Amino acid sequence: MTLVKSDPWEVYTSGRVNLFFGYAFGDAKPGGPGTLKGGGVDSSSDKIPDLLPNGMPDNSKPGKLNKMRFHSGFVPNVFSLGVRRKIGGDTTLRAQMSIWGTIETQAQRKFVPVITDFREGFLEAEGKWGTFTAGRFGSLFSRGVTETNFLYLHGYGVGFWGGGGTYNPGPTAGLIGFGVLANSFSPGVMYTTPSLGGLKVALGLFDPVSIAGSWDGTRTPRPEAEAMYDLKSDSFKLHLYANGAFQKVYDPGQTQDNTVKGVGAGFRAEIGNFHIGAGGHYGQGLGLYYALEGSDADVSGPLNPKGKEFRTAEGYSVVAQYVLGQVDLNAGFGQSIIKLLPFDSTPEGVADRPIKSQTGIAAAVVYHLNESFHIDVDYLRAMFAWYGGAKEDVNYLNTGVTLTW
Amino acid sequence: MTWNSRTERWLHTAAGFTAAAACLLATAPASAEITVAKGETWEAYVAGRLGAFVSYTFGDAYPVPKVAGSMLQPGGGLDAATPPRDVINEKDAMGKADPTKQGKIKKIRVRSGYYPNIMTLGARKTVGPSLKLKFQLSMWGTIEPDDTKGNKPPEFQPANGTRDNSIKADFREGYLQAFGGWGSFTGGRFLGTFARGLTEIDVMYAHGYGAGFPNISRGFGQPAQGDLTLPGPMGGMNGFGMVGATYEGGGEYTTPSLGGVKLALGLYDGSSYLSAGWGATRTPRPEAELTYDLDTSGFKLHLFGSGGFQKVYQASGIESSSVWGAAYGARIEVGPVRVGGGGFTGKGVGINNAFDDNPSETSTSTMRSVTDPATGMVTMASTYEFRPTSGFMGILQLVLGPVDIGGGIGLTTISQLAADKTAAATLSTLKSQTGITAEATYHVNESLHLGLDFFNGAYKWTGGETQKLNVINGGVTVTF
Repeated sequence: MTLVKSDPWEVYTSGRVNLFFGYAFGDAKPGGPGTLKGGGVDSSSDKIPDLLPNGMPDNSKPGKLNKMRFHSGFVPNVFSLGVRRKIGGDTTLRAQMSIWGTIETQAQRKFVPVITDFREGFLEAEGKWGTFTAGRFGSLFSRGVTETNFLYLHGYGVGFWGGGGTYNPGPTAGLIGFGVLANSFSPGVMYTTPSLGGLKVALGLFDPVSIAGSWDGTRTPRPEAEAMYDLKSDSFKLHLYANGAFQKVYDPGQTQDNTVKGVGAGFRAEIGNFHIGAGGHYGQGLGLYYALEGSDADVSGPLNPKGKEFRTAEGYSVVAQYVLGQVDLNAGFGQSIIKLLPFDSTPEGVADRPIKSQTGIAAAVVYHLNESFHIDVDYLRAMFAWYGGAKEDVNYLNTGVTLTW
Repeated sequence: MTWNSRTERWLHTAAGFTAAAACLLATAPASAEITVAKGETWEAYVAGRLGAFVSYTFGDAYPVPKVAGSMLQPGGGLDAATPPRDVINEKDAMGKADPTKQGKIKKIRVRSGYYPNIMTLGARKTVGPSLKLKFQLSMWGTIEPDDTKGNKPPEFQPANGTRDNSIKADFREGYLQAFGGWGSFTGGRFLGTFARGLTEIDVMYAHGYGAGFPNISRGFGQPAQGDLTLPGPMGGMNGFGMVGATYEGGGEYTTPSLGGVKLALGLYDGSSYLSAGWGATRTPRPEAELTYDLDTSGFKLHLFGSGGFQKVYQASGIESSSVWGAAYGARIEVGPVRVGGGGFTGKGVGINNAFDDNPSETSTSTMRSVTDPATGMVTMASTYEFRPTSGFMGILQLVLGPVDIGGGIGLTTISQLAADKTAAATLSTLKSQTGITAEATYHVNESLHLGLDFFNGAYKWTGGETQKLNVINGGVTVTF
């Protein structure tokens, strides 16, 4: 929405507000066997315990989850404000800031503020020579698969509520954590080449992240890159991508270092009204939900003679959409997997039971009343399996409205 | 009845003010939106306000239990931190601070008022003859900083005035609205249905351009209550005869006006009562409000009755309970006179804000016995029974041209349970919160407002402890 246009500047705004009702039901998180590492839905507050004969809670069993919420969706309330202008030749200068905020508060505390998240703030110069971006913006590693999840499944929906607990504020996660390792908004700089016959390469340098609880130290920025190929015709669109990232990390106060590294690849295609996308990731120290966020499942236990060894993480997802006039029919499947290390099978390592797989099946129906108003009903079944046999299955049924501008 | 000369002088003065007011049937100026862009079917607007207040609080410090070895149940009073931060202790014989005496409070702050700085952006769009769409986003930020640094609890941080602290913006409001002849649907984060009639009275007739009492949000895990150190916004009359309606996530349908009658039905995200012993929810909270409006030349009437209900659960436990509340009231505008009054009642309805957690709402002494059928062994389970809470308030305002003057009174009472009386020797519980307020606002024009208000807040506990405080606030507000 253009607010002001006065040569040479143009001021615009975009954003969204939404509300979703959600119902989560299924298993509470199991307590074992072993010490579960990573994954699952924390149910420490919302567990409905199984009962002993005397009517008291039976804490030897996982119990159930059964909870309804009113909250924000995959993208919460967003207010974006930007300016753009020409600066000679064909170069356009743009600056955009976005503020995000959920409608729900932390831990359902009614009178605590919703802390505004200055999620995005970047400048961009674009010309025949390419595009230079600097500030805080969506990073490159695993960007393509996140876009697919947004475009073809949960852009106007909710999906997974997140693993931190059903009482926590969002935004929610869509299919993230289930074959989709999401990129994140990160501070950095990025150069993207102009399109060369449909081929583009983006190279970025981002502020390093510490892997909390294991490899907290960093010393150098994190390079990321993505190669993309786009093909467009009247009834066919294709977007291919491959990306990667690596970062050195250090054990504070120790002499050891390690490297977080990952690659991702995939495509999305639009053939008439049918849209399909698929992608995956592979690497070490990547986390389960957001790239390089750190997870208990990432590293082996302290008794490992090799130190804090990274486990291998991988995932893949497929999402499809059929556009039926004003209605989108969407479906998706994804699975994230953590591979065991040799140490994990030793007597010293077997006490820790990392998450083995997180499998998600999702479906969504979106009715676009007009270009601004969108009504969504979506469902996601989250299935968690740990090494050692523990399991947790949770279903999410969501419906809500979104207004965009 | 006998009047002394002082009373007669006061009445003459009041009568004079009333006569003058009758000649000046002006309406209090309201803030306006600024249209920033307009198309054929849509328009975008901004609105907001900025303000600063000097606030002087003086009176009693947080009380010391009257019965040796007992304690005050948290949730009431001002500066209840351990150790208290703003107390001016009395001195013992050695000249040292005497913590066995209540002490005094004297503190001046420069801070935001009842409303902090606000930036609002919205847009409206006509989609068809029976459908219009609107969205509005508002960000709030006080001018005083949060003294919390990093992730540590605020109690372990230095007092206010920490110069390098930033202000955290509060994404207080963000909603979409669809409306037409069929009524309106609102979804997102907006002012909740329950008790908003009471809040409207306070805002319109007392503290809209003022500050009131510093009953404020104190962060995660702590109840909203009196505090002079943490950032606001200030609480107006919240907690004194009224519970403040809060901004919350949910959806609401409102019928069109049927002869002045409207019904609003809302469903909101469940509220957890962590410090009151009920940390889990499973279902949303339904709220409803029935209103009647009559607007003729020289006379306006707004009647309201609202209610809400929610089930609560102990975290990972088997105990459950219900919170409920009802609120009611009216506001009337006859010429320059505005009068508003109302009340509330319920269990778990909140002390300062509607359906908000506060440990004063439940008893830690109520238990139920559980017998194991196999062994016959009896164990006790805490039931955190909710105490009945109620309140009433009234506010009078005179509009004298560009000047509003007025005042009000409110009383909130929390009833003791039988178990509380049994445990009275060890635990003193919050009994009442009484507030008396007066305000004067000079509207220089539709955008610039000078406010001066006074608040006397008095707390009583069942053990006989009291805390009385006076707050004088003066400040300036610009609205747009």
